Amino acid sequence: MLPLLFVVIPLGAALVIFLLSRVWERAGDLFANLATLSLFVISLTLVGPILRGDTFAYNLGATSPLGIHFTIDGLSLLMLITINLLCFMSSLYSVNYMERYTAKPRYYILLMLMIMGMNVVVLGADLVNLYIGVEIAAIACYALIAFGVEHEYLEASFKYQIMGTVATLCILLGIALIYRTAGTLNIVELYDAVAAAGGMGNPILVFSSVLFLGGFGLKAAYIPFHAWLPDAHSTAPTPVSAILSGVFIKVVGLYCMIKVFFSIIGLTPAFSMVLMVLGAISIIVAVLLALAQWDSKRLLAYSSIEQMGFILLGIGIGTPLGILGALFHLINHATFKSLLFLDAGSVETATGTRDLKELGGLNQRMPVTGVTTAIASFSISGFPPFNGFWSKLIIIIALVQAIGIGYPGFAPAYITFAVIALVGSILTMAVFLKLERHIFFGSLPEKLAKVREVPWLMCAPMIILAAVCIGVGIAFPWVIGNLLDPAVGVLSVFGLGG
Amino acid sequence: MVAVNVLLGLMILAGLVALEMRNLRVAIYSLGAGGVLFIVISFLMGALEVGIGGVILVAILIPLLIWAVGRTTGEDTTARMRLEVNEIFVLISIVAFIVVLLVVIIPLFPELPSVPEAVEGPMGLSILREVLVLLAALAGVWAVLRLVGRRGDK
Amino acid sequence: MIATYTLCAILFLVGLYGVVRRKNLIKVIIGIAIMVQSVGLVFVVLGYSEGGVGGISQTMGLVALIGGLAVMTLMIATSIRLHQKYGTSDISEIRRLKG
Repeated sequence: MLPLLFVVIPLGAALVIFLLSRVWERAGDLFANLATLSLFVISLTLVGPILRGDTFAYNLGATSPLGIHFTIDGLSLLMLITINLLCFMSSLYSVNYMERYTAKPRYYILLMLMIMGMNVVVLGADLVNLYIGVEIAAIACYALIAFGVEHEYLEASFKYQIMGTVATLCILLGIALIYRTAGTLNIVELYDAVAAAGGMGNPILVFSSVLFLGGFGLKAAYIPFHAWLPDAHSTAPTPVSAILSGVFIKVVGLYCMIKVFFSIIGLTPAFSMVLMVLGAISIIVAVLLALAQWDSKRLLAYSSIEQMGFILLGIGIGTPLGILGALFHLINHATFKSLLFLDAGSVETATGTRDLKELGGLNQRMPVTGVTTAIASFSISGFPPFNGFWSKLIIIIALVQAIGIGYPGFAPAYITFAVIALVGSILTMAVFLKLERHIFFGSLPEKLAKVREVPWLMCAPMIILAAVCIGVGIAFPWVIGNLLDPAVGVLSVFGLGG
Repeated sequence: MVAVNVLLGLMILAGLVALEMRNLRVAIYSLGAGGVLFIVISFLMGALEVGIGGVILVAILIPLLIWAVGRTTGEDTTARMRLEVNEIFVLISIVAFIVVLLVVIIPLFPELPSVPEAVEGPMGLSILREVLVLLAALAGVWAVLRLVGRRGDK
Repeated sequence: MIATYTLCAILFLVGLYGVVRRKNLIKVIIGIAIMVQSVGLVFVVLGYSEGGVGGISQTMGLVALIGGLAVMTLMIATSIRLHQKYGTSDISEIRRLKG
């Protein structure tokens, strides 16, 4: 029954908010936060059992995929904890932030549906349930991006709706082809069935994996498919941007990609190379684009594409160390990028602008925002001992290690990618120096002299996330041992040397 | 299968007409004709569930699109084609050519391996999932159709 | 069978052509609708055997149709609001966001 809670709680909360908000305006604030908090606590209580080697399964109804089938293993637990922590922080931040928009209960209902969709994606034990999760999360996400119903919101949302729908249709075609060839949709059974059908020697499977790469790549916004992301992530309401950049693209894009290319098809040298090249291109191109931005949220959106490149690079190596680095960077990026979005939202709330050229010297006026942004910037730029340092270090070490134990003949590529990762890290530092210098240092413009710090309910999630950044950075052996190792164990059997 | 292939060819034709037509109402009727062909194909092949899904799709989508055209603009100023007989004639001949070509090509390809699959009836649970997806869309529409998004605007 | 698959693929590409090339909001939605129908047909065709169409294929065909219907409903609502805001249905004139 336990996995079902991750679906029932947000759905129930949405229903309660829908019913109660007519008589009590604050119902949304209370129940959305209660739901996200309880989801986060439930996911934390699962750490112990998963570490002992238990898995949770829930089956309702007929044989796959006509019924509903959920499983929780190390990897899905890691994703569940990340999703529900960030959604709790975002809903806490929404209490004050969303006051500027009308119809707050409708916002909370959509938020709950989006959380439910993301939970279904990571819980789904077969491709149909996974697809349904992607669909629900995407639809709620389109509406949340358009929530301001002004020119920019609608434009960004419509662009994303078109691209996202083409992507989901490609994914569905890929599922159709893989089902036609392998005869099953259960993710565990698919690995053997795909191998029996000839694996990558079968042209139909090659075609379906290309469809998956395109579809999930578009959802995860890797560089040739990234056009929608900067618009969507910069125009959405800030708590939504934090969820979108923090977990949404990772869950509906990257997690599904990992599922397909590791747990279903199994990593081959060709896919390893494709994933690493996509990652490396995303790192370099996106960081240069980020450097050129003057809108704070747009800059952060481009930087998200870059950091997703690091994760894909690590996953593409396929060694246990590479997967560890990638998953570690995934949770780290989730924490510091959503923190940065919340900070940008606070600056916008206080000053009314996101234009870096109009800001400056806010450190004295907004101490909490200033300090938490500094912590997040240190983390994302990879300063020790913040969390981003360790994950980037592990990815680069994994690349160097792969020269010896990786696919034969890939050594020059590994060296090139390690150099690209290093250069990317240095350029990231430049991006965030720019952000810091133009918002928090320099002289305070006269019209910002009366700026005040945002309310405490907006500060609280920022402080918590900053504490997570530092805490994970200092206690990283504990995090690796308790959260990441079970997740890496799920994947590394399908990876290189598994 | 030949009947299905011919109907599919007609669907492609209806789709092209729907995309190229300058008058949006005619385009939507053409899409509706394509939807009816979809339903006919589904029932012809024995896919009752999908056929009913097709009926739902056409019955909801076409009135919605007509309503949307009423609220926006009736003419696609960027499309080339007006309702001219010879252009439709050209389209018909293109599609007929493709269909004939494919009918000739069929024997040249090997058959795909067939996956034996139990023919089961519709399941309540799968309907439940569809309801959740539709629920998300309805909540989205409910949010997007607000007239004022931010406090203080207008 | 292969001819039927090819025709479904052509139908999918016709829809994609509409989504990519047409500039009118409603036309883009029509293109999406054509793609959704073609994916639904792919499931019908691949589940087809002498006795009818398999239950799993049918369920997935239904997933394609209803999911598509849900997205298109939202798209129609968004396009109406876009038309109200921008005063045009021409996508090439709806670009206030840079890059």
